[in-house]
Amino acid sequence: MINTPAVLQNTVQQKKMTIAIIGNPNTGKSTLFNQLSGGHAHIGNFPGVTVEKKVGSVTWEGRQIDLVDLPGTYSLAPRSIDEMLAVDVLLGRQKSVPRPDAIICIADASNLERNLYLFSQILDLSIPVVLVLNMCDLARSRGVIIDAQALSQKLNIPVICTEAHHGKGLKELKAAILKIEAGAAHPPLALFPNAFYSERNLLREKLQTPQEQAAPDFLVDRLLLDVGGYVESYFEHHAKNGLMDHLHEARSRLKAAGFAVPAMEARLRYGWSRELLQDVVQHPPDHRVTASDKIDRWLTHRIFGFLFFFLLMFFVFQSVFTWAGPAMDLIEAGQGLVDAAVESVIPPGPLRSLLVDGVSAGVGGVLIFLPQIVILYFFIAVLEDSGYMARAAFIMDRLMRSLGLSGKSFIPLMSSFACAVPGIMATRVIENRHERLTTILVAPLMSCSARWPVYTLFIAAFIPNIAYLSIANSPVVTLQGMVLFAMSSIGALIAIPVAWFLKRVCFKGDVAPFVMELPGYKWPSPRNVIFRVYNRAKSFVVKAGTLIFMTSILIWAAGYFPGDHSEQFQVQNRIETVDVSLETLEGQIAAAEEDTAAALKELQTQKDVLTQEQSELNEKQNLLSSQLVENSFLGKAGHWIAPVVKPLGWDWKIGVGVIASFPAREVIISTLGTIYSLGGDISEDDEGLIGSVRAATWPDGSKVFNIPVAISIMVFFALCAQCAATLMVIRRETNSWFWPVVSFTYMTTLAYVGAFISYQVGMLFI
Amino acid sequence: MTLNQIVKGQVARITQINGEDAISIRLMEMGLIDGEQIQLLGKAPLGDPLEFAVRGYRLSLRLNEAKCVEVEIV
Repeated sequence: MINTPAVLQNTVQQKKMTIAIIGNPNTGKSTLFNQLSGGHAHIGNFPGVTVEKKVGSVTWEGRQIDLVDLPGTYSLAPRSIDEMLAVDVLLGRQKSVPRPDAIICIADASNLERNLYLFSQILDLSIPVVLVLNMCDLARSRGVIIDAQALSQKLNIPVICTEAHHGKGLKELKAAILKIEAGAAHPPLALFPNAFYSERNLLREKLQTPQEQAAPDFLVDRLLLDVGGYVESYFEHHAKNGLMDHLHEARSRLKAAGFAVPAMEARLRYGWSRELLQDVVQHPPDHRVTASDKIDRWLTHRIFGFLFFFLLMFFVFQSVFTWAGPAMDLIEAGQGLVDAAVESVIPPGPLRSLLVDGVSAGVGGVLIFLPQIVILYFFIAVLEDSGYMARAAFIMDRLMRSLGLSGKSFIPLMSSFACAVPGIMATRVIENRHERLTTILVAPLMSCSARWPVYTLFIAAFIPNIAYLSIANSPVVTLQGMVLFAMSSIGALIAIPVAWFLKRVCFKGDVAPFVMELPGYKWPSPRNVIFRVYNRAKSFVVKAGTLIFMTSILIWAAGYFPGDHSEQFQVQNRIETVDVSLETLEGQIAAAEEDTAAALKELQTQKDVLTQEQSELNEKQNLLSSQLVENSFLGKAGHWIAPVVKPLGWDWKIGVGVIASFPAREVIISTLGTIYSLGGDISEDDEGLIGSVRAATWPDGSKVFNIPVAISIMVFFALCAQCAATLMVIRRETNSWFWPVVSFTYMTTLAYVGAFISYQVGMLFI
Repeated sequence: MTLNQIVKGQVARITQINGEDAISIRLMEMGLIDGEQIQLLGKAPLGDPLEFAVRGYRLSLRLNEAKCVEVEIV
């Protein structure tokens, strides 16, 4: 207790420190961040951009520190609003983060010369820096030997060797950070000729307005250096007239003096980096073939490369299906147990309906995605960590480019065939904003597993089972199979023109370069893989899960209100009493002795009476449910959209099914079950449902469903965006409501037009 | 000649990066500067993109990006 005031004083004096972590891609930056933050990071988005904001709050030796993870980048010359974010954070212009007190610049030890390019730009910011040489063990094994101490002396900056994936060097790094004193920044590196700096000062005067603070030197440097960069376009919109003319004149004067931008920057910085490293780093001789190169010759080989790639993709895909299935069944079973527990405690009524049909269904609807996300992300993390992810993009680039995308879009799109949610989450590997948005927008068109129940139901009910080719009496090519195949591929086929349109029309003029590093192969670090899978899953449940849950509650309420449910509850009560009595009776019958035949007969009669009542009650219950749905807001909406869906060949019941399936496509099965008075717990291959669907009629007695209607419904579900989880993940990943609205609108339009054409054309043949 | 014309295994010296667009700036940021040596290590299965060794690391470039790089054979 005696030293409490001193401790207090100490914490008061030392304000919270903000430390930014930045580095090239593939330097192990996220591993280092996870290790330093202990895996506890607040994940969110920076306002206005699609960049993820990761802040880890830690306390080191009583000092509170916020670690801010910035996206991996090769340079601080921003070309888009997303790349500008790192510059804004470092300059203290990003309002949601205080200006960093220090920067940790992480570099790949085996590839220092290129990594120091970014570092040299960071030195110009006049913020204290610690240089981390990560993967020192890997560098040593590749024959790169670094004298970190000599480097630190030359730079007059702390240089720490780490092996982040097994936690080596972190203690030294923490000590170096804690030693940084406030305001102890070194002067800018200032590599450029005087002519450049005088042009910069002239330009700054032009920029300055009385109201505004002077633009930081770094930003004016970027304006002058980055031809066609983001800073230039920013000032073009925000500065007064004449600035651009002045800028172009300044650049031509520099060119005339022999310092043409942008080439000057690269030449001077790389010159500095090479000179700095000259007697500090020992390299293996140039053009030496490494083990990684030998692996690459096989894995990017014209035949084996493709073969390996497709086998691997097949394995990943198959694993998602095989392993996620049982886990999803478990989640459903768990949900069933919870429902049963709730039903045993709470009598039939609004509260029970809310808990079972709203809350439990909503939570289940979120958790059901976890197995696929976890398994897919496990593979993605392993592929990225091992270095193969870059090769996958390398191999697929040529093919994907014909669709206007790049190789980096392949894995997210392939994943979307299992489920668009993890697929969209996987688009993080795409740095280019427009390419990433294009991939996000077309990903939900891929035929995911949630569409299968819809296809199965309507194919089983309406498509004749005709075999066109049989081998050894087992059908190989059937009409049903062909329709299923057509439905599964229609989305992907439509995605081609959509992607083309988005890239050529909406995001015109933005060519994403494929200039990227192919990192050396290495064994993935299990700890890193687990961290990443955990973070992805957590971020999905917390950020998207809440919204998905709320959508489910809303749809539940729309289907529940405003009807009077009292009769339904009475019937439900009676059903449950009858169920219990029946169970007791059965127990008694089983226990009854053979010789008391009379008593047994009496029990049997009681049972028959109750069974009769039970089936009558169930029928009544189903009828009531279907009437209640018809009179609910949902049912009214169904009637209201009936004229809109009439040209698709649908009646209002299908309309209700489509609206109710907004949280998830497969919900249409149970909604149709309720509406056709079969009860809600129904599966796609239920004979009763297939029968009711076949038998459904219009008021005039003609059949609702025929082959064109079935096809029209399937086409609609192949192309529509009836999946709240997908839309919420798009909202989460793009950090805006605009893109989910765009997705929903364009996909619903496509679905409507597709269904319209299939029905109208189909009717011509009937 | 340009970088897309060299054959597998060949080492070339960069003489110039053409253009001032996003791609040529990115190429320079990645260390492709006149005087630097660059080697073609291999190609993707469909012949594009290409894998190069430069400054001790491995770099992937598309054919049209490699076209921006003027080289001479060493």
